[in-house]
Amino acid sequence: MSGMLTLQGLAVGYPGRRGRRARRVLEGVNAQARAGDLTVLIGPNGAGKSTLLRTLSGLQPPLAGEVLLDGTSLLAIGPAELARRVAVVLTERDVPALLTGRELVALGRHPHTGFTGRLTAADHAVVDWALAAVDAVHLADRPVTELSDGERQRILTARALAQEPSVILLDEPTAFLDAPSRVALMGLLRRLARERSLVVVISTHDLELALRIADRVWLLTRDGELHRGTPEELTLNGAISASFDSAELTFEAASGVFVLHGADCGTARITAEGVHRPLLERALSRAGWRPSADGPADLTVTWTGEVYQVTRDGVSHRFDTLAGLTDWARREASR
Amino acid sequence: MTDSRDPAVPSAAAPPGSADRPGVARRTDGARRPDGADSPVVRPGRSPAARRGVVLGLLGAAVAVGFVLAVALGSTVIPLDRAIPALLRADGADPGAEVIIWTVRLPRAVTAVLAGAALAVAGVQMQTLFRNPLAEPYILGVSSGASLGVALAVTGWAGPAGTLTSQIAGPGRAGLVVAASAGAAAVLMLVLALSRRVRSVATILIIGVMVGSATSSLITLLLAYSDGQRAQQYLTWSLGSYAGTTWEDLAVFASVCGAALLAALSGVKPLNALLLGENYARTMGVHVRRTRTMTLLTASVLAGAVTAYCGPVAFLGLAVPHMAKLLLGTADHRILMPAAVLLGAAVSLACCIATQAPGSGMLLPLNAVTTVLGAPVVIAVLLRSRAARAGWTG
Repeated sequence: MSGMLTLQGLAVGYPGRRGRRARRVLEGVNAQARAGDLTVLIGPNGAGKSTLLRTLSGLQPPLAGEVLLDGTSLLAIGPAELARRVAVVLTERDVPALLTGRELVALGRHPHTGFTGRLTAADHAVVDWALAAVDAVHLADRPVTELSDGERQRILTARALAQEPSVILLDEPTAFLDAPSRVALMGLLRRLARERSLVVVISTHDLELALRIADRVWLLTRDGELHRGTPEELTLNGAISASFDSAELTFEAASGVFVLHGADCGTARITAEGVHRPLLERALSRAGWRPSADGPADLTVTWTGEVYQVTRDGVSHRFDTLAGLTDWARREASR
Repeated sequence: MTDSRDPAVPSAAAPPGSADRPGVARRTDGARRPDGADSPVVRPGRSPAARRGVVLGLLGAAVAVGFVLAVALGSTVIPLDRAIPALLRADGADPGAEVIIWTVRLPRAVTAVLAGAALAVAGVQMQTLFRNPLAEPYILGVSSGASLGVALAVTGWAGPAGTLTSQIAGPGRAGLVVAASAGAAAVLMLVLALSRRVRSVATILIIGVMVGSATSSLITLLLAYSDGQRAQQYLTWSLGSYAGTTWEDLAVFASVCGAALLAALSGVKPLNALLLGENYARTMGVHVRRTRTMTLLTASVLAGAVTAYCGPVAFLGLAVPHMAKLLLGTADHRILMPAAVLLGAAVSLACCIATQAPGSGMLLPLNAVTTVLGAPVVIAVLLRSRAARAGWTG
C-alpha cells in the first residue's frame, strides 16, 4: 500500500505581502515519515511545529522545496483528492453547538460524499468504525459541547479517521489532556499507525511521553534545524540535551526524564528494598541530597521495613513516615 | 442516491482492521444495533431522525394553516366557508371575497411566505459563515444600502427614480423598489469587493458593520434636511410591510427568491464542513473562498430582495435560525435549511396575520409585530433550551 510523506528541501513560513519581506520559519528541511510509524514532532515553543504541520497538510504552500505524498507533490494533488489522502486534527478546539459525536465524525466523510452530502450505508459503516477505533462508541449520541477535553479529542481524531486518509497530521493533540488521557491517545495513535498502515505525524510539547512512545522523532531546534531519528539515537547523539537542557533542567538519558537541578548539599547512601529505593532517591534528591551508590556519603538512609533510620554526622534519627524524613532532610539541607 | 465516492478508495465498505479485530467488529455491530446488550448507552439511532421528520411535517402543516388564515383574516373578516371557495375560484364563490382575496390577501400571503423563508435561510447562512450567533442577513449592510436608496429617492436626490414621481407625493411603489434594489446592490458590490482583499471572516463582518453604520448616518443626514412629509414616507417604508405587492411584483420577487433559495439549499454541504471552521473545511476539500463568496452573494440577494419589496423586515433573519436549530436539535444544514424555509414562512405568516389585528380594523406596522411579539418568544425558547444554557456559540 501507499505510505510515504517526504519533505525535500522544504522551507516553510509566511510569504511577503505588500512590500513586507517573507518570513521563513524553517529552511532546507529534509525528512521522511513512513507508513506504520508514529512520527513525533517536538521542539521548543516558536520553533515552527505548527507552521510545518500546516504546510504538510496543504493549508499553506511551501516557500521553497516540496512535500511529496507517495512521490507526488502536494501542490499537484487537487483539494478534493488531497482531502481523501490527508486528514488533520488542528489545535482549534471550538466545536459547534447542537452536534452529536456521531454527526461530528460524519463530517469527515465530506470528501467522499456526493453533491448533497448524503451518507450512504457504507459511509455510516466507516463512521461506526472510526468511533469504535478510538473507543468512542459511547460518545456517539452525546452533544460534543458536553464532552470532556479528552473525549472531544477522541471524537476529533475519529473525524480525521472517517476521512479514510493515508496520512494523519495532529497538531498538539495531547494539550489540555490529563496524563492518563495523553498516554491513552498517543498509544491509540501508534496502534492506528500500525494496524491501518498510516503515516501519523504528531506535534507535541510532551517530550518525555514522545520519547517513550514515538517510532521516529523529528526534533526542531530553536535555530531552525531538524534532527531526525529514533528517540534513542537522538538521546545518544546529544540532540535532545542540546535543545532542551537549561541551567535548571537536565535530560537524563537513562531514565528518559527531565531532572530539575536543586541545591546540592551532599550525598546520600540509600539501603532499601524494591520500590522503596527509587521513591527514597526521588524524595531525597528533591530535598537536595544526591543519591550515591556506595562509598562514603554525607547521609545514610535505611528502610527497615517499618521505619526509616538516618545517620548524619554520626547522629542517628528515626522516622515513621517518608514525609517526616523528607521534611527533616529539607531542614538539614538548608542548614 | 448516487454513490460518488472515489473508486480508488474501495476500503470504505469494509474498513481494514475491523475484520481482523473481533473486538472492534463487535463494537461496530453494537453501534448499529443500539439495542444490543453490549452498548446500553447508545440511544436508538433512528429516533432523532424520526423526531426531525415529525417536526418538519408539523412545520409544513403550520405553513399551510397559516397561509389559509392569512387569506381568511383581515380588515374584513371572510369566514373560511366563503374564503376557501373564493381562494379556489370555485363556482358560486362570493365575487367580493374573490376580489379581496385575489388582489390583496393572496399576494400578501405569498409575499410573507417568500420573505420569511428568504430571511430565515439567509440568517442560517450568515450565522454559520461568521460562526456568530448574532449574525443576520442584514449584518453586511445590505438593508442599510436599500434604505439609503429609498431615502435618496424619497428626498428627491435619486435622479430619474425620484424626479419622475416625486413632485409632491414622493416616488411611487415601483420607484421605491428600484431605489431599494439599487442601494442594496451597491452596498453588496462594495462589501464583496472589500472581502476579496480580506482573509478572515471576522474582518468581513466588521467591514460590513462599518459600511452599514456609515450608510445609516448618510440616511440620517438626508432626512434631517428634508421636509416632514418625505421623512414620513421614508419612515413608513422602513417599518416594513407585506401589503401592496402586485402579481407583477411577485413574478420578479418570487423568481429572485426562488433562484437564491435554490442556490442556498444546494450549498448545504460546504456549510456543514464550515461548522468546524475554515481550516478544517479546507482540509476536507472545500474551496473556502468560493463558498464564502457564494454564501455572501446568495444571502445578500435574499435579504436585498426582501428589503426592496417589503422594507427592512426586522428580526426574522436573526430569530428564526435560532428557533429552527432548537426545534430540530441539530446544526446539520441538510435538515436545518429546509426547516428554516418552513419555519421562516410560518412565523412570517403569523406576523402577517398579526399586523392585520384581525377584527379591529387597525393595521399594525410589520416590524413592530415581528419584534414585539417575536423577541419574548425567542428569549423564552433560549431560556428553556439546554443547548443554549450550556454555552451557545453557534
